[in-house]
Amino acid sequence: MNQSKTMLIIVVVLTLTLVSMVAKKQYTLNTGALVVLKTTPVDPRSLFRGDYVRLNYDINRLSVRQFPLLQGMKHHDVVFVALEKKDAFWHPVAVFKSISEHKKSWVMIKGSVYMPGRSAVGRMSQVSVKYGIENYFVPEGEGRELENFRNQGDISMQIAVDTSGASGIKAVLLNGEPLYVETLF
Amino acid sequence: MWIGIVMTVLMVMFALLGVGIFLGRHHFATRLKKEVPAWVEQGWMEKPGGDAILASLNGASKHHISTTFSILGVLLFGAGVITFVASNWDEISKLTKLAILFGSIWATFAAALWCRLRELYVWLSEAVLLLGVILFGVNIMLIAQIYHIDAHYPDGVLAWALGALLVAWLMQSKPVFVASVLLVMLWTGMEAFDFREFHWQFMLVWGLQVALLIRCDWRGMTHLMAMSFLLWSGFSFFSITTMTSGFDVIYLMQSYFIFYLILFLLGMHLLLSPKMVSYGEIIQKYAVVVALACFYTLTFPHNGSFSGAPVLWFWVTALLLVVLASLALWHRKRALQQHTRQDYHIWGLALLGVTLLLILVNMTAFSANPLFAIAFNIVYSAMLIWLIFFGMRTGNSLLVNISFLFFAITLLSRYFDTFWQLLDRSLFFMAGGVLLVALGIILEKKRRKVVAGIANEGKAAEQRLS
Repeated sequence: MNQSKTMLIIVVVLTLTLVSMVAKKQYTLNTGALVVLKTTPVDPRSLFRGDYVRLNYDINRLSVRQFPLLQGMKHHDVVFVALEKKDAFWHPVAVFKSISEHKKSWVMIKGSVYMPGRSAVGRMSQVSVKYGIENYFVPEGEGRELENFRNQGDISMQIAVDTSGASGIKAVLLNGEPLYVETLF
Repeated sequence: MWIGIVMTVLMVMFALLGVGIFLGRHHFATRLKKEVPAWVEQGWMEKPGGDAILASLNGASKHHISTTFSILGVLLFGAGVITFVASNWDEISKLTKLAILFGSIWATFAAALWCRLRELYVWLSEAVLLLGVILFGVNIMLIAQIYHIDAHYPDGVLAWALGALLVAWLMQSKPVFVASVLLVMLWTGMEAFDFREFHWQFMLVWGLQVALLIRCDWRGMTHLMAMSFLLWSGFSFFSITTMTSGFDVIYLMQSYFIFYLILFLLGMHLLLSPKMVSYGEIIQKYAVVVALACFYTLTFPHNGSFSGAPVLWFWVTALLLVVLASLALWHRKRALQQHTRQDYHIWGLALLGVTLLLILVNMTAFSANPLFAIAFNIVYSAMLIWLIFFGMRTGNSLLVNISFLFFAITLLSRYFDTFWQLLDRSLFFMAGGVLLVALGIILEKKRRKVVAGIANEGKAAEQRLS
């Protein structure tokens, strides 16, 4: 194989790797069911730090008593959390190990049990679950502005969840109105 | 902005690596320039041959300087571009950002191709290829930021490392290969420390890197690969002890000892294949240090004797012992077939048998017994003596030095174990001081004698050849 062809293969493979990152995310945002999740501050004194916002949702901490399936879980185990709309927001109503048959009114979001340094849930009353929607990058300096908005009213996140359970942040909402909306370009 | 800072730090690391490689080569070239005229004068080498080597050295030296400085230049240029983009990030639209990111990669690899196709600039292509790989990593991070991709973040480093490996594989580029090895180390470190899991996936990528190393016959890189494996081995130790209870550490240490003994034997096998001798020697050096360090911890009275192993560790140990015994017997068969079997092979096999038996008896014993600790110390000392003997016979002075070092450390440890409680503190330290000085003198004399013997044998062999 000559050098030009070899270099072309390299460029194509590396470019496809980068494009696939964008495509995978955009597929979720464009085809996913939209749910609105209420955010709670990680640290009320400084919610927005640096160039990204750390977001904590109600669905990040699930009660073992409410969802007994979590009892046998380990760090990094995959779970599917069924979300159902109650009032303006979506709330967890059931936990499964796989996307099985579920109610039409439910949206199944895929998460991963997060408890570094622990081998099993054991006697924990709550289990931490991450979904890949916990960080939102904002332009430099705008974190403070978002923090002010949060103090004025409720900030919530519009999340797109596709059929495989993968999720992505579609929009940041202030009092239910879009503040930032994610687009391809 | 933080991405710019991180990338600048990474580039400085790569640059330092480049300078290190350059200085190493420069030292080798300087030494050769001094030695070659002496060899010609001694009559070991014909004058035309010596002149040709010196001429080639001068050419190669200029080439290495060009490559090293071009790598440094390209890295600094890359750092400047990244810092500029990062500081103006907020003013750029999403589409423009993507155009800059993809365009930078395409332009860099096009430039690398241009350099490769022109013989005069082949040396520059290595630096430009490395820049392309660095930009690929920057793009992964920036795209993740633009599209709020908050996935399992070590996967980003893995994608970067695999991209680097692909470039190194297809373009046979050493600097890019080094970058891929460093990135894989970073990846496994993140998985081990941030996610605390036994990261077996490392071995798959490491295996691919070894395949490339053998394919390109980059023998010098074996040290880097060995260090990468040692690092993973250390991370895995940390992960496994976190996952299991502290009680199991001693069994893990014993398993590590057997595993590195297996690697040492693998080195012995490679020594039997003329094409693989240099790989075998390097593997043996690293394997022997870790194996001795692990065995050393088992020689302590409270560590050496553990009654009744948990079932998991019994089977892990049994499996490792079976592999070890099979490799040893296979080596015996190969050495006999090749008529290269030496007396140290026979003694080594016997010692291995005793070690195996001792570990098995200790693992299945129903109660802790101080006799086991004594037995471990005897076998450990025998192993050190065998290594010194093996090093002398094979002309491997490094093995001799390592063995003497462990011998001294062990003697001091036993002194502390035995007399710490028995002697008055002032007497303990005074006697310890005298012992240390005496031990230092005696062992150093012995070590010098053995190493000098090895050097004299080497010279005699060279004279016989000439």
